[in-house]
Amino acid sequence: MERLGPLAQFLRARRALVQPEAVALRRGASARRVDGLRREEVALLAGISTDYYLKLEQGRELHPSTTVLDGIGRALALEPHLLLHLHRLARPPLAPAPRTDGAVSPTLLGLIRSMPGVPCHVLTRRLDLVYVDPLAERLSRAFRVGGNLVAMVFRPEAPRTAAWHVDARRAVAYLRASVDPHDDGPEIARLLDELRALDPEFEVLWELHESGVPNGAPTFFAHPEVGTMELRYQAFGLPGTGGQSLGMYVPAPGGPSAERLQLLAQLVDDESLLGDRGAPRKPGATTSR
Amino acid sequence: MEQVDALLAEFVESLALTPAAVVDARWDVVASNALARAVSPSLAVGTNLAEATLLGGSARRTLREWDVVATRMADLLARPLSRDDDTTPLHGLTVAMEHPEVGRLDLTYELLRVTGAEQTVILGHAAVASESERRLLTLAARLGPAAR
Repeated sequence: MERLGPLAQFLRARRALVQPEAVALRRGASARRVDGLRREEVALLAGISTDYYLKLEQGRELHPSTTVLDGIGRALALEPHLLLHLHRLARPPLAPAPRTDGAVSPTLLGLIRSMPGVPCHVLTRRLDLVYVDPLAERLSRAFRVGGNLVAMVFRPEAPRTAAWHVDARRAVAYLRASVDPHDDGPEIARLLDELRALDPEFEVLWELHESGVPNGAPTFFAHPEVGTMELRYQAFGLPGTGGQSLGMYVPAPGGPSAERLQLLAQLVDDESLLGDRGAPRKPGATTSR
Repeated sequence: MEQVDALLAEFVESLALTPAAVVDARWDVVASNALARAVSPSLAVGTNLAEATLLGGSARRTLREWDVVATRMADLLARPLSRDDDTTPLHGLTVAMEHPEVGRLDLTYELLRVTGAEQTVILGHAAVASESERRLLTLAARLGPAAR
């Protein structure tokens, strides 16, 4: 299956997940119908021939027109962010990015230093952490350079609560949105293998083919020094870096989380004034919601 | 003008010590915080930042090296920031200006791409412990908590 192109994989996976009612098809009274549409049904709803749709699922047609994609999006009842993802899958692969040294722009570091009250990290396309600022390090011991945002969710010691499943699904969709869908190079393959080895649930979620940057998603941090904070994630793309992004954790203005985060920033600041010989750091634990 | 995501607008406003603005694909300013507007009238919502930089009288009067900034602006206009495959490094743009109230301000602006929208966030910063940082803080303090 993995040898099929990303567009074909996506169509097969999503077709199986559509509830017929979502696209105004009735489950026949007699038929023991389960979720999922037949290829002919998708083609009919999308206004294309069954033959043509079959070609798309078999990977014999890779770049359908935007009109066809919009029709398929309707047929599969795709939400707007997944429709965008579908369009992305149908575009030709990106030219292989020239190897960058992975360095973070010095002026970006200047910006991050000028906002000591905002926990920030810089991520690669694979969601590996390549920079973590002092406040983010203090916020969670999982935020360390060399870590991976998805791997930290699937680490074995995180309790598999209902809230964890929400976080995990979101993290996997974030990875889909972040990586180049046409990139099946060794670095991506290694990460996927690592994640599959951490938890078989990863593969289940990966095969949902969901895709989305979790902007605005609430993340809960249970911090031993200042208490629990609810922070919202904001990620920005860094143009010209070959896929790096800047992620920040932002509290709702004026609320208790904003107050606690400010307190934590003060602790970090006090210690940096003492220099590295100051009190030993006690990085906080993160919980999944 | 393209709508700004409500949480993004709130984020921009919550940055009390960082001049912050959001521009759309045409460089129309679609959101900005009080400090950005205090730094430059070019960062007021509804202004076209490219036009204000290249053609505006205020930019010509206040930017010390207007021609350098104008050239960078023209480059940016020719380079859509939403391209995924762009690998030409885009370092922060340092702009030196004569601010009518606090004097010379050397600010570096980072351009960050908003995911899922054809928008760019512009965040300004001064070098740590510089005179410009002190002046920026002075400007922020004048705005007071009410204006933020």
